[in-house]
Amino acid sequence: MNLAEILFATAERHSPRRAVTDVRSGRSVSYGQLASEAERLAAFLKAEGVEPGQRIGLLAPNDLTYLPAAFGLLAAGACFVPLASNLTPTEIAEIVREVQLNGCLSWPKAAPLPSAPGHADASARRAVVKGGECEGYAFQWIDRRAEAPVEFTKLNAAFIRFTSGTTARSKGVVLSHEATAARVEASDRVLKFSEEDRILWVLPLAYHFAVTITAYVRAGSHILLCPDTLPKAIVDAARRLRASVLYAAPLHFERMGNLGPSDPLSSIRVTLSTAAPIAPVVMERFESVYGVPVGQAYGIIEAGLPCINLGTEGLPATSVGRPVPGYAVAIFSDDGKLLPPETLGEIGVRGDGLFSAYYSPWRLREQVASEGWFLTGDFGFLDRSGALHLKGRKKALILVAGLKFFPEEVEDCINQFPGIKESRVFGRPHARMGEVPCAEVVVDPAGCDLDALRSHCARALSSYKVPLEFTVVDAVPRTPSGKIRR
Amino acid sequence: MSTGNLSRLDPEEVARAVTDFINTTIMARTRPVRPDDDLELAGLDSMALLKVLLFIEAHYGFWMPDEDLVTDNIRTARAFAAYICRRSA
Repeated sequence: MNLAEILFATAERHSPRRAVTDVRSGRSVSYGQLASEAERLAAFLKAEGVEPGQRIGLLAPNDLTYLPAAFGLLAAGACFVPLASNLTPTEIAEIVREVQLNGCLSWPKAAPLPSAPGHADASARRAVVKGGECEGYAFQWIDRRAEAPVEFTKLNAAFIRFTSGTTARSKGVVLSHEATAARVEASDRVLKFSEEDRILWVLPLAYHFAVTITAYVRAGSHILLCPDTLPKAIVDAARRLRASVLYAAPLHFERMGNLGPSDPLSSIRVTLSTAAPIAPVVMERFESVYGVPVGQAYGIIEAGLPCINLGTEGLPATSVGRPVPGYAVAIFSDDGKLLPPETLGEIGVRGDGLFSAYYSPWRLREQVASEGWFLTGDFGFLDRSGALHLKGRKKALILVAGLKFFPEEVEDCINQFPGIKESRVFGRPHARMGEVPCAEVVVDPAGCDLDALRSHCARALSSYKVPLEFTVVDAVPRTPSGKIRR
Repeated sequence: MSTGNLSRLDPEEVARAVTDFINTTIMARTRPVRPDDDLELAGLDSMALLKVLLFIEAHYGFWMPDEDLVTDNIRTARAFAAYICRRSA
Protein backbone atom coordinates (compact mmCIF):
# COMPACT_ATOMS: atom_id res chain seq x y z
CA MET A 1 0.00 0.00 0.00
CA ASN A 2 0.94 3.67 -0.24
CA LEU A 3 -0.25 6.40 2.16
CA ALA A 4 -0.91 8.74 -0.75
CA GLU A 5 -3.82 6.46 -1.70
CA ILE A 6 -5.50 7.62 1.50
CA LEU A 7 -5.44 11.19 0.20
CA PHE A 8 -6.65 10.15 -3.26
CA ALA A 9 -9.55 8.18 -1.76
CA THR A 10 -10.63 11.15 0.34
CA ALA A 11 -10.34 13.45 -2.69
CA GLU A 12 -12.71 11.17 -4.58
CA ARG A 13 -15.32 11.38 -1.83
CA HIS A 14 -14.86 15.02 -0.87
CA SER A 15 -13.24 16.81 -3.80
CA PRO A 16 -14.71 20.29 -3.17
CA ARG A 17 -14.35 20.20 0.61
CA ARG A 18 -11.62 22.28 2.16
CA ALA A 19 -8.61 20.24 3.17
CA VAL A 20 -6.24 22.87 4.55
CA THR A 21 -6.54 26.54 5.44
CA ASP A 22 -3.68 28.85 6.35
CA VAL A 23 -5.15 30.73 9.30
CA ARG A 24 -2.97 33.77 8.77
CA SER A 25 -3.57 34.35 5.06
CA GLY A 26 -7.06 32.80 5.03
CA ARG A 27 -6.18 30.83 1.88
CA SER A 28 -7.47 27.29 1.50
CA VAL A 29 -7.01 24.29 -0.75
CA SER A 30 -9.70 21.69 -1.30
CA TYR A 31 -9.15 17.94 -1.19
CA GLY A 32 -9.44 17.87 -4.98
CA GLN A 33 -6.74 20.54 -5.33
CA LEU A 34 -4.52 18.90 -2.72
CA ALA A 35 -4.70 15.53 -4.50
CA SER A 36 -4.05 16.92 -7.96
CA GLU A 37 -1.12 19.02 -6.74
CA ALA A 38 0.33 15.96 -4.98
CA GLU A 39 -0.03 13.95 -8.20
CA ARG A 40 1.63 16.73 -10.17
CA LEU A 41 4.55 16.82 -7.70
CA ALA A 42 4.86 13.05 -7.90
CA ALA A 43 5.01 13.22 -11.71
CA PHE A 44 7.63 15.98 -11.48
CA LEU A 45 9.79 13.91 -9.13
CA LYS A 46 9.47 10.79 -11.30
CA ALA A 47 10.44 12.83 -14.36
CA GLU A 48 13.58 13.86 -12.47
CA GLY A 49 14.36 10.20 -12.02
CA VAL A 50 13.32 9.66 -8.40
CA GLU A 51 12.84 5.95 -7.80
CA PRO A 52 10.94 4.04 -5.12
CA GLY A 53 12.91 3.61 -1.92
CA GLN A 54 15.19 6.58 -2.47
CA ARG A 55 15.58 8.80 0.57
CA ILE A 56 14.40 12.28 -0.36
CA GLY A 57 14.46 15.18 2.09
CA LEU A 58 11.67 17.72 2.34
CA LEU A 59 12.81 21.14 3.46
CA ALA A 60 9.67 23.22 3.81
CA PRO A 61 7.89 25.51 6.26
CA ASN A 62 4.55 25.09 8.02
CA ASP A 63 2.32 26.32 5.23
CA LEU A 64 -0.18 25.23 2.57
CA THR A 65 2.54 23.85 0.34
CA TYR A 66 3.77 21.28 2.86
CA LEU A 67 0.96 18.78 2.39
CA PRO A 68 1.01 18.50 -1.41
CA ALA A 69 4.82 18.31 -1.34
CA ALA A 70 4.80 15.57 1.31
CA PHE A 71 2.07 13.51 -0.34
CA GLY A 72 3.77 14.06 -3.70
CA LEU A 73 6.95 12.49 -2.34
CA LEU A 74 5.00 9.54 -0.96
CA ALA A 75 3.04 9.08 -4.19
CA ALA A 76 6.31 9.01 -6.14
CA GLY A 77 7.35 6.09 -3.94
CA ALA A 78 10.14 8.02 -2.26
CA CYS A 79 10.97 7.55 1.39
CA PHE A 80 10.32 10.97 2.79
CA VAL A 81 12.79 12.52 5.25
CA PRO A 82 11.41 15.69 6.89
CA LEU A 83 14.03 18.40 7.36
CA ALA A 84 12.82 21.02 9.83
CA SER A 85 13.37 24.54 8.51
CA ASN A 86 15.24 25.57 11.67
CA LEU A 87 18.00 22.99 11.25
CA THR A 88 21.53 24.32 10.91
CA PRO A 89 23.74 23.32 7.96
CA THR A 90 25.76 21.13 10.33
CA GLU A 91 22.62 19.29 11.43
CA ILE A 92 21.44 18.85 7.85
CA ALA A 93 24.86 17.51 6.86
CA GLU A 94 24.56 14.89 9.58
CA ILE A 95 21.15 13.75 8.29
CA VAL A 96 22.44 13.61 4.71
CA ARG A 97 25.29 11.38 5.86
CA GLU A 98 23.41 9.12 8.27
CA VAL A 99 20.37 8.29 6.12
CA GLN A 100 22.28 8.44 2.83
CA LEU A 101 19.96 11.08 1.47
CA ASN A 102 19.67 10.77 -2.31
CA GLY A 103 18.04 14.10 -2.99
CA CYS A 104 16.02 16.92 -1.55
CA LEU A 105 12.85 18.82 -2.38
CA SER A 106 13.02 22.37 -1.02
CA TRP A 107 10.64 25.27 -0.77
CA PRO A 108 11.50 28.35 -2.84
CA LYS A 109 13.31 30.29 -0.12
CA ALA A 110 15.67 27.50 0.90
CA ALA A 111 19.26 27.64 -0.28
CA PRO A 112 20.54 24.63 -2.23
CA LEU A 113 22.07 21.94 -0.04
CA PRO A 114 25.70 21.03 -0.52
CA SER A 115 26.15 17.85 -2.53
CA ALA A 116 27.70 14.81 -0.95
CA PRO A 117 31.50 14.68 -1.22
CA GLY A 118 32.51 13.68 -4.73
CA HIS A 119 29.09 14.45 -6.26
CA ALA A 120 29.43 18.16 -6.93
CA ASP A 121 28.27 17.88 -10.55
CA ALA A 122 25.13 15.92 -9.82
CA SER A 123 23.58 18.59 -7.65
CA ALA A 124 24.67 21.62 -9.62
CA ARG A 125 21.35 21.54 -11.46
CA ARG A 126 18.10 22.14 -9.60
CA ALA A 127 14.78 21.41 -11.26
CA VAL A 128 12.05 23.88 -10.37
CA VAL A 129 8.30 23.27 -10.11
CA LYS A 130 6.32 25.64 -12.35
CA GLY A 131 2.90 26.96 -11.38
CA GLY A 132 0.44 25.49 -8.89
CA GLU A 133 0.51 25.61 -5.10
CA CYS A 134 4.14 24.41 -4.96
CA GLU A 135 5.40 26.91 -7.54
CA GLY A 136 9.11 27.49 -7.08
CA TYR A 137 9.83 24.27 -5.17
CA ALA A 138 13.19 22.87 -6.30
CA PHE A 139 14.49 19.34 -6.50
CA GLN A 140 18.18 18.52 -6.37
CA TRP A 141 20.22 15.38 -6.20
CA ILE A 142 22.65 15.11 -3.33
CA ASP A 143 24.00 11.61 -3.86
CA ARG A 144 21.82 9.97 -6.46
CA ARG A 145 23.53 6.58 -6.36
CA ALA A 146 23.70 6.16 -2.58
CA GLU A 147 22.33 2.71 -1.82
CA ALA A 148 20.36 1.76 1.23
CA PRO A 149 20.82 -1.52 3.10
CA VAL A 150 19.14 -4.41 1.24
CA GLU A 151 16.65 -4.94 4.07
CA PHE A 152 15.57 -1.32 3.78
CA THR A 153 14.53 -1.79 0.15
CA LYS A 154 12.12 -4.54 1.22
CA LEU A 155 10.38 -2.46 3.85
CA ASN A 156 8.14 -0.22 1.74
CA ALA A 157 9.47 2.69 3.80
CA ALA A 158 7.37 5.85 3.93
CA PHE A 159 9.33 8.04 6.34
CA ILE A 160 12.58 8.38 8.15
CA ARG A 161 12.25 10.58 11.17
CA PHE A 162 15.74 11.68 11.99
CA THR A 163 15.88 11.73 15.73
CA SER A 164 18.07 9.84 18.02
CA GLY A 165 16.55 6.55 19.03
CA THR A 166 16.80 4.60 22.25
CA THR A 167 20.45 5.48 22.56
CA ALA A 168 22.20 8.62 21.49
CA ARG A 169 23.88 6.58 18.78
CA SER A 170 20.96 5.07 16.92
CA LYS A 171 19.65 7.48 14.38
CA GLY A 172 16.83 7.67 11.90
CA VAL A 173 13.59 5.91 12.78
CA VAL A 174 12.18 4.18 9.67
CA LEU A 175 8.41 3.80 9.33
CA SER A 176 6.85 1.70 6.59
CA HIS A 177 3.62 2.70 4.84
CA GLU A 178 1.93 -0.22 6.61
CA ALA A 179 3.17 0.74 10.09
CA THR A 180 2.07 4.34 9.55
CA ALA A 181 -1.37 3.20 8.37
CA ALA A 182 -1.64 0.98 11.47
CA ARG A 183 -0.88 3.99 13.65
CA VAL A 184 -3.45 6.10 11.85
CA GLU A 185 -6.08 3.44 12.34
CA ALA A 186 -5.22 2.94 16.01
CA SER A 187 -5.36 6.64 16.92
CA ASP A 188 -8.61 7.04 14.99
CA ARG A 189 -10.26 4.35 17.12
CA VAL A 190 -9.95 6.72 20.07
CA LEU A 191 -9.97 10.18 18.52
CA LYS A 192 -12.68 9.38 15.91
CA PHE A 193 -11.94 12.08 13.38
CA SER A 194 -14.67 12.92 10.88
CA GLU A 195 -15.32 15.19 7.93
CA GLU A 196 -17.03 17.55 10.39
CA ASP A 197 -13.79 18.16 12.29
CA ARG A 198 -11.82 21.37 12.02
CA ILE A 199 -8.37 20.71 13.41
CA LEU A 200 -6.34 23.61 14.73
CA TRP A 201 -2.70 22.74 14.13
CA VAL A 202 0.08 24.70 15.86
CA LEU A 203 2.98 22.22 15.80
CA PRO A 204 5.85 21.98 13.31
CA LEU A 205 4.78 19.70 10.45
CA ALA A 206 8.32 18.45 10.01
CA TYR A 207 8.11 16.80 13.43
CA HIS A 208 4.51 15.61 13.35
CA PHE A 209 3.43 15.02 9.77
CA ALA A 210 3.31 11.25 9.55
CA VAL A 211 0.45 9.92 11.59
CA THR A 212 -1.69 12.78 12.72
CA ILE A 213 -1.99 14.60 9.40
CA THR A 214 -2.68 11.34 7.56
CA ALA A 215 -5.41 10.57 10.09
CA TYR A 216 -7.13 13.91 9.41
CA VAL A 217 -6.81 13.44 5.67
CA ARG A 218 -8.27 9.95 5.86
CA ALA A 219 -11.33 11.31 7.67
CA GLY A 220 -11.69 14.26 5.32
CA SER A 221 -11.27 16.75 8.18
CA HIS A 222 -10.45 20.39 7.62
CA ILE A 223 -6.90 21.22 8.82
CA LEU A 224 -6.30 24.75 10.06
CA LEU A 225 -2.60 25.61 9.97
CA CYS A 226 -1.88 28.26 12.57
CA PRO A 227 1.61 29.66 11.97
CA ASP A 228 1.24 32.17 14.78
CA THR A 229 1.69 30.20 17.98
CA LEU A 230 1.36 33.07 20.43
CA PRO A 231 -1.33 32.20 22.97
CA LYS A 232 -3.82 34.93 22.03
CA ALA A 233 -3.51 34.09 18.35
CA ILE A 234 -4.32 30.42 19.02
CA VAL A 235 -7.39 31.27 21.13
CA ASP A 236 -8.61 33.77 18.51
CA ALA A 237 -8.18 31.26 15.69
CA ALA A 238 -9.96 28.51 17.65
CA ARG A 239 -12.89 30.80 18.32
CA ARG A 240 -13.13 32.43 14.91
CA LEU A 241 -12.83 29.20 12.92
CA ARG A 242 -14.81 27.09 15.39
CA ALA A 243 -12.05 24.50 15.75
CA SER A 244 -13.23 21.13 17.01
CA VAL A 245 -9.82 19.62 17.73
CA LEU A 246 -6.75 21.30 19.21
CA TYR A 247 -3.50 19.40 18.92
CA ALA A 248 -0.64 21.18 20.70
CA ALA A 249 2.26 20.94 23.13
CA PRO A 250 1.96 21.44 26.92
CA LEU A 251 3.46 24.91 26.67
CA HIS A 252 0.64 26.03 24.36
CA PHE A 253 -1.99 24.83 26.83
CA GLU A 254 -0.12 26.50 29.67
CA ARG A 255 0.15 29.84 27.90
CA MET A 256 -3.47 29.76 26.78
CA GLY A 257 -4.61 28.93 30.31
CA ASN A 258 -2.59 31.82 31.69
CA LEU A 259 -4.61 34.27 29.59
CA GLY A 260 -7.89 33.50 31.41
CA PRO A 261 -10.69 34.19 32.19
CA SER A 262 -12.46 33.62 28.92
CA ASP A 263 -15.68 32.51 27.31
CA PRO A 264 -15.70 28.73 26.87
CA LEU A 265 -14.26 27.34 23.66
CA SER A 266 -17.51 25.56 23.01
CA SER A 267 -16.67 24.26 19.54
CA ILE A 268 -13.79 22.08 20.77
CA ARG A 269 -14.58 18.40 21.30
CA VAL A 270 -11.04 17.04 21.73
CA THR A 271 -7.77 18.53 22.86
CA LEU A 272 -4.58 16.56 22.80
CA SER A 273 -1.34 17.50 24.49
CA THR A 274 1.73 15.74 23.22
CA ALA A 275 5.53 15.99 22.96
CA ALA A 276 6.19 16.39 26.70
CA PRO A 277 4.56 15.55 30.05
CA ILE A 278 1.88 18.05 31.01
CA ALA A 279 1.40 19.14 34.63
CA PRO A 280 -2.04 18.51 36.21
CA VAL A 281 -2.18 22.15 37.33
CA VAL A 282 -1.84 23.28 33.69
CA MET A 283 -4.66 20.95 32.65
CA GLU A 284 -6.89 22.17 35.48
CA ARG A 285 -6.31 25.82 34.64
CA PHE A 286 -6.98 25.31 30.93
CA GLU A 287 -10.20 23.46 31.66
CA SER A 288 -11.39 26.06 34.16
CA VAL A 289 -10.72 28.89 31.67
CA TYR A 290 -12.06 27.30 28.47
CA GLY A 291 -14.48 24.67 29.73
CA VAL A 292 -12.83 21.79 27.88
CA PRO A 293 -10.63 19.11 29.41
CA VAL A 294 -7.08 18.60 28.15
CA GLY A 295 -6.41 15.18 26.72
CA GLN A 296 -2.93 13.77 26.70
CA ALA A 297 -1.12 11.08 24.82
CA TYR A 298 2.00 9.05 25.39
CA GLY A 299 3.88 9.65 22.16
CA ILE A 300 7.20 8.16 21.16
CA ILE A 301 8.64 8.12 17.68
CA GLU A 302 9.28 4.39 17.72
CA ALA A 303 5.69 3.54 18.68
CA GLY A 304 3.32 6.37 17.74
CA LEU A 305 0.61 7.11 20.31
CA PRO A 306 0.18 3.83 22.22
CA CYS A 307 -1.81 5.46 25.06
CA ILE A 308 -4.35 8.28 25.03
CA ASN A 309 -6.25 9.84 27.93
CA LEU A 310 -8.97 12.06 26.50
CA GLY A 311 -9.69 13.51 29.91
CA THR A 312 -13.35 12.53 29.59
CA GLU A 313 -13.27 8.95 30.88
CA GLY A 314 -12.64 9.68 34.55
CA LEU A 315 -9.02 8.54 34.50
CA PRO A 316 -6.69 10.46 36.80
CA ALA A 317 -5.04 13.53 35.25
CA THR A 318 -1.67 12.04 36.18
CA SER A 319 -2.20 9.19 33.70
CA VAL A 320 -1.53 9.20 29.96
CA GLY A 321 -4.39 6.73 29.59
CA ARG A 322 -5.03 3.11 28.69
CA PRO A 323 -3.45 1.44 25.67
CA VAL A 324 -5.16 2.34 22.41
CA PRO A 325 -6.77 -0.71 20.71
CA GLY A 326 -4.06 -2.20 18.50
CA TYR A 327 -1.33 -1.68 21.09
CA ALA A 328 -0.32 -3.52 24.24
CA VAL A 329 1.68 -1.91 27.03
CA ALA A 330 3.54 -3.76 29.79
CA ILE A 331 6.05 -2.95 32.48
CA PHE A 332 9.36 -4.80 32.67
CA SER A 333 11.96 -5.28 35.38
CA ASP A 334 15.67 -4.67 34.78
CA ASP A 335 16.14 -8.35 33.98
CA GLY A 336 13.31 -8.35 31.46
CA LYS A 337 10.50 -9.90 33.56
CA LEU A 338 6.90 -8.74 33.31
CA LEU A 339 5.87 -6.76 36.38
CA PRO A 340 2.39 -6.70 38.00
CA PRO A 341 0.16 -3.56 38.20
CA GLU A 342 1.23 -0.70 40.46
CA THR A 343 4.88 -1.69 40.11
CA LEU A 344 7.42 0.72 38.67
CA GLY A 345 9.57 -0.48 35.77
CA GLU A 346 10.52 0.14 32.17
CA ILE A 347 7.63 0.64 29.75
CA GLY A 348 7.38 -1.83 26.86
CA VAL A 349 5.07 -1.39 23.86
CA ARG A 350 3.86 -3.92 21.29
CA GLY A 351 1.65 -3.45 18.23
CA ASP A 352 1.46 -3.05 14.47
CA GLY A 353 2.27 0.63 14.77
CA LEU A 354 5.81 0.03 15.99
CA PHE A 355 8.62 1.44 13.86
CA SER A 356 10.16 -0.73 11.17
CA ALA A 357 13.90 -0.17 11.70
CA TYR A 358 16.67 2.16 12.79
CA TYR A 359 18.61 3.40 9.80
CA SER A 360 22.01 4.11 11.32
CA PRO A 361 23.38 1.76 12.40
CA TRP A 362 20.93 -0.44 10.49
CA ARG A 363 18.77 -2.59 12.78
CA LEU A 364 15.38 -4.08 12.03
CA ARG A 365 12.69 -3.70 14.66
CA GLU A 366 12.85 -7.47 15.24
CA GLN A 367 16.48 -7.09 16.26
CA VAL A 368 15.67 -4.33 18.72
CA ALA A 369 12.42 -5.64 20.19
CA SER A 370 12.26 -8.82 22.21
CA GLU A 371 9.23 -11.05 21.50
CA GLY A 372 7.59 -8.04 19.90
CA TRP A 373 8.11 -5.76 22.90
CA PHE A 374 9.91 -2.52 22.25
CA LEU A 375 11.47 -1.20 25.45
CA THR A 376 11.00 2.55 25.42
CA GLY A 377 13.58 3.67 27.95
CA ASP A 378 10.78 5.40 29.86
CA PHE A 379 9.81 4.39 33.38
CA GLY A 380 6.26 4.09 34.67
CA PHE A 381 3.57 1.80 36.03
CA LEU A 382 0.14 0.55 35.06
CA ASP A 383 -2.60 1.13 37.63
CA ARG A 384 -5.32 -1.42 38.41
CA SER A 385 -7.57 0.03 35.71
CA GLY A 386 -4.82 -0.54 33.13
CA ALA A 387 -3.94 3.14 32.73
CA LEU A 388 -0.31 4.09 32.29
CA HIS A 389 1.51 6.57 34.54
CA LEU A 390 4.88 8.00 33.48
CA LYS A 391 7.68 8.40 36.01
CA GLY A 392 10.80 9.55 34.23
CA ARG A 393 13.34 8.30 31.75
CA LYS A 394 16.17 5.84 31.68
CA LYS A 395 18.14 7.73 29.07
CA ALA A 396 19.73 11.11 29.60
CA LEU A 397 17.46 12.94 27.22
CA ILE A 398 17.05 16.68 27.65
CA LEU A 399 13.55 17.99 27.01
CA VAL A 400 13.25 21.72 26.27
CA ALA A 401 9.64 22.83 25.83
CA GLY A 402 8.72 19.59 24.07
CA LEU A 403 11.82 19.29 21.89
CA LYS A 404 14.26 16.54 22.78
CA PHE A 405 17.97 15.97 22.34
CA PHE A 406 20.77 13.92 23.79
CA PRO A 407 23.51 15.69 25.77
CA GLU A 408 26.21 13.85 23.79
CA GLU A 409 25.33 15.75 20.61
CA VAL A 410 25.93 19.12 22.26
CA GLU A 411 29.02 17.88 24.12
CA ASP A 412 30.52 16.73 20.81
CA CYS A 413 29.94 20.21 19.41
CA ILE A 414 31.47 21.96 22.45
CA ASN A 415 34.46 19.62 22.55
CA GLN A 416 35.43 20.55 18.98
CA PHE A 417 36.01 24.14 20.07
CA PRO A 418 39.62 25.25 20.64
CA GLY A 419 40.57 25.42 24.28
CA ILE A 420 37.94 22.95 25.51
CA LYS A 421 39.18 19.76 27.15
CA GLU A 422 35.86 18.21 28.05
CA SER A 423 32.28 19.12 28.82
CA ARG A 424 29.04 17.92 30.35
CA VAL A 425 25.63 19.08 29.15
CA PHE A 426 22.57 18.72 31.35
CA GLY A 427 19.03 20.01 31.68
CA ARG A 428 18.32 22.40 34.53
CA PRO A 429 14.67 22.33 35.62
CA HIS A 430 12.76 25.44 34.55
CA ALA A 431 9.19 26.27 35.53
CA ARG A 432 8.07 27.20 32.02
CA MET A 433 10.37 25.29 29.73
CA GLY A 434 10.55 21.96 31.54
CA GLU A 435 14.32 22.06 31.26
CA VAL A 436 16.89 24.49 29.90
CA PRO A 437 20.23 23.24 28.58
CA CYS A 438 23.35 24.14 30.56
CA ALA A 439 26.98 23.15 30.10
CA GLU A 440 29.97 22.62 32.32
CA VAL A 441 33.27 22.95 30.51
CA VAL A 442 36.85 22.15 31.40
CA VAL A 443 39.16 24.61 29.62
CA ASP A 444 42.85 24.63 28.74
CA PRO A 445 45.11 26.57 31.11
CA ALA A 446 45.61 28.98 28.19
CA GLY A 447 41.90 29.82 28.46
CA CYS A 448 38.92 29.75 26.15
CA ASP A 449 36.67 32.49 24.79
CA LEU A 450 33.25 31.50 26.17
CA ASP A 451 31.35 34.05 24.02
CA ALA A 452 32.96 32.62 20.92
CA LEU A 453 32.10 29.14 22.17
CA ARG A 454 28.46 30.17 22.51
CA SER A 455 28.44 31.47 18.93
CA HIS A 456 30.15 28.30 17.73
CA CYS A 457 27.30 26.25 19.26
CA ALA A 458 24.64 28.59 17.88
CA ARG A 459 26.04 28.14 14.37
CA ALA A 460 26.13 24.37 14.57
CA LEU A 461 23.02 23.55 16.60
CA SER A 462 19.31 24.35 16.54
CA SER A 463 18.64 27.12 19.04
CA TYR A 464 16.87 24.92 21.58
CA LYS A 465 20.02 22.83 22.04
CA VAL A 466 22.40 25.75 22.64
CA PRO A 467 23.29 25.91 26.35
CA LEU A 468 22.00 28.97 28.11
CA GLU A 469 24.87 28.92 30.60
CA PHE A 470 28.45 27.78 30.27
CA THR A 471 30.20 27.21 33.59
CA VAL A 472 33.94 26.60 33.83
CA VAL A 473 34.73 23.69 36.15
CA ASP A 474 37.92 21.81 37.11
CA ALA A 475 36.54 18.43 36.06
CA VAL A 476 33.24 16.95 34.94
CA PRO A 477 31.70 14.43 37.35
CA ARG A 478 32.18 10.84 36.27
CA THR A 479 30.94 7.46 37.43
CA PRO A 480 33.47 4.94 38.81
CA SER A 481 33.57 3.36 35.33
CA GLY A 482 34.58 6.68 33.78
CA LYS A 483 31.28 7.65 32.12
CA ILE A 484 30.00 11.18 32.45
CA ARG A 485 27.54 11.28 35.31
CA ARG A 486 24.06 12.07 34.00
CA MET B 1 14.56 59.36 27.54
CA SER B 2 15.58 58.72 31.11
CA THR B 3 17.32 61.47 32.98
CA GLY B 4 19.48 61.10 36.01
CA ASN B 5 17.82 57.98 37.37
CA LEU B 6 20.56 55.38 37.17
CA SER B 7 18.27 52.45 37.87
CA ARG B 8 16.15 53.21 34.84
CA LEU B 9 16.88 51.18 31.72
CA ASP B 10 17.95 52.84 28.50
CA PRO B 11 15.82 51.50 25.61
CA GLU B 12 18.74 51.84 23.18
CA GLU B 13 20.99 49.79 25.39
CA VAL B 14 18.35 47.12 25.99
CA ALA B 15 17.64 46.89 22.25
CA ARG B 16 21.37 46.39 21.68
CA ALA B 17 21.58 43.70 24.38
CA VAL B 18 18.60 41.80 22.94
CA THR B 19 20.02 42.10 19.41
CA ASP B 20 23.43 40.86 20.58
CA PHE B 21 21.86 37.91 22.35
CA ILE B 22 19.89 36.94 19.24
CA ASN B 23 22.94 37.26 17.03
CA THR B 24 25.31 35.30 19.24
CA THR B 25 23.09 32.63 20.72
CA ILE B 26 20.24 32.10 18.29
CA MET B 27 21.15 33.15 14.78
CA ALA B 28 24.93 33.16 14.70
CA ARG B 29 24.81 31.33 11.39
CA THR B 30 23.00 33.89 9.27
CA ARG B 31 23.27 37.58 8.54
CA PRO B 32 23.10 39.46 11.84
CA VAL B 33 19.73 41.00 12.69
CA ARG B 34 19.43 44.69 13.48
CA PRO B 35 17.26 46.22 16.21
CA ASP B 36 14.46 47.12 13.79
CA ASP B 37 14.41 43.91 11.73
CA ASP B 38 11.23 41.84 11.80
CA LEU B 39 12.37 38.84 13.81
CA GLU B 40 9.88 36.41 12.33
CA LEU B 41 10.92 37.32 8.79
CA ALA B 42 14.54 36.91 9.89
CA GLY B 43 13.72 33.32 10.82
CA LEU B 44 13.12 33.48 14.57
CA ASP B 45 10.84 30.54 15.31
CA SER B 46 8.78 29.82 18.41
CA MET B 47 11.63 27.97 20.10
CA ALA B 48 13.98 30.87 19.46
CA LEU B 49 11.36 33.18 20.95
CA LEU B 50 11.48 31.10 24.13
CA LYS B 51 15.23 31.63 24.28
CA VAL B 52 14.65 35.38 24.18
CA LEU B 53 12.17 35.02 27.05
CA LEU B 54 14.83 33.12 29.02
CA PHE B 55 17.32 35.90 28.30
CA ILE B 56 14.86 38.51 29.57
CA GLU B 57 14.25 36.45 32.68
CA ALA B 58 17.99 36.10 33.37
CA HIS B 59 18.93 39.72 32.67
CA TYR B 60 15.89 41.77 33.64
CA GLY B 61 14.47 39.54 36.34
CA PHE B 62 10.98 38.76 35.11
CA TRP B 63 9.23 36.21 32.92
CA MET B 64 7.23 37.88 30.19
CA PRO B 65 3.63 36.95 31.02
CA ASP B 66 1.57 35.14 28.41
CA GLU B 67 -0.99 37.91 28.03
CA ASP B 68 1.83 40.18 26.84
CA LEU B 69 2.98 37.75 24.14
CA VAL B 70 1.44 39.67 21.29
CA THR B 71 3.06 40.67 18.03
CA ASP B 72 3.42 44.34 19.00
CA ASN B 73 5.73 43.43 21.89
CA ILE B 74 7.93 40.94 20.08
CA ARG B 75 8.10 41.95 16.43
CA THR B 76 11.61 43.44 16.67
CA ALA B 77 14.43 43.64 19.21
CA ARG B 78 13.44 47.26 19.72
CA ALA B 79 9.85 46.26 20.45
CA PHE B 80 11.15 43.83 23.08
CA ALA B 81 13.30 46.62 24.53
CA ALA B 82 10.38 49.05 24.71
CA TYR B 83 8.34 46.40 26.49
CA ILE B 84 11.18 45.56 28.92
CA CYS B 85 11.66 49.23 29.76
CA ARG B 86 7.93 49.76 30.34
CA ARG B 87 7.81 46.74 32.61
CA SER B 88 10.88 47.82 34.56
CA ALA B 89 9.89 51.49 34.88
